Amino acid sequence: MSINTKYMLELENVSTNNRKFALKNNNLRLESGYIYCITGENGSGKTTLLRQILDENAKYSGVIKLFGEDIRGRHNIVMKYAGYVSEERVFLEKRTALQNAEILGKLYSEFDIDIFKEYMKIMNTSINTTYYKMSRGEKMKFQLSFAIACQSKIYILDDVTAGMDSVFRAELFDMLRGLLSDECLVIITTHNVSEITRHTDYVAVMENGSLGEFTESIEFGV
Amino acid sequence: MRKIDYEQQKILDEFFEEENTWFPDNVLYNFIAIMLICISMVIILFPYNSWNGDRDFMTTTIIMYAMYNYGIFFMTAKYSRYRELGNKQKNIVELLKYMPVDKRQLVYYKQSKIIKPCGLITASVIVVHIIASLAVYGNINVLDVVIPCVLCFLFPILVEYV
Repeated sequence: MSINTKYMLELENVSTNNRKFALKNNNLRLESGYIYCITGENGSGKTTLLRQILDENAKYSGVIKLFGEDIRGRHNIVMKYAGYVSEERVFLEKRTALQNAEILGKLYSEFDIDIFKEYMKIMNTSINTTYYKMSRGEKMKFQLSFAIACQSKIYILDDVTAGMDSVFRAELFDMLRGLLSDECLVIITTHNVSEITRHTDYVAVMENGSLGEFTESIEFGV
Repeated sequence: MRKIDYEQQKILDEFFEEENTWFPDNVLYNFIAIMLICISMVIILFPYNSWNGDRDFMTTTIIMYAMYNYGIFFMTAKYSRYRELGNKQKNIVELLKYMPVDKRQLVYYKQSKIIKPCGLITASVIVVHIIASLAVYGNINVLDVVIPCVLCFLFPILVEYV
């Protein structure tokens, strides 16, 4: 996949036909170097939208492009470039952070264990803590460090800051800002308005399975 | 049918090699696989002519083929399941869900691990069937070849798609 395209991630009329909940004609075009926020009420479809990009068996109509190329049937390429941070992600519970990184890092050709250790140190998180003993915040930091060590280009953080203190939030967004200089983009989902206006560049509201236009975050809620 | 992605196969090789050092159930699975396959061979090696028409023997033979396939299932169990100490078994697909590995490539990987042993076992069974059939009955039946090909080779490989 060539990464010399203007838009890193594009969705064109992405819809799903799920009986329980349907996405309707979602469009977006995201460039590198920005933090994008998708917000909306609980159950509006934010995570469902992200799953169309990340799930191998996602059933959607429309086109999703990564670096200008259709991702359908190319799950391994998507996950090579997408770093996903979420509570639902599964890791080895009884292994330490370092062991998880060493074992699962084998699946990434560009994984760098030294970068992982460096970022865990920057985020003041021990690499020798067993995964199931970590707090929610520590798990999110571990997952982010792992994603960075995998040389991800698109960081997708799904409701990572929910219930977290302001210190954690500040640290997290500082980290994310630092990543943007490396031709990456960040997509986060959150409900926190102050977080949106203070830390993100563009925001779009998801409503009943439909994503609105991205606008500058500084104007959000005004 | 999608192509085999050799890069992903190499990645899976490295991953499962690492898994060997931390997944203690692997040793047990291999032991059970060998035991089941060896026990099933006691009956499977009888040629078709010896049980043709004998309903009880036929039932026993079918059970032994099922046991053989169960043994092959245990051979690939370490590529399908993992269990951490004190926890329930989990599907490895859940662990690999957001990793750069396609489910189809994982199936191909599992199939690659059993093609050789299944092939060798099938060939051995066919040879024994033919020799025994000729020695005892003076003829061979086409089912002496077809049944092992289907039940000892094709079935365990194709069931990985399920």
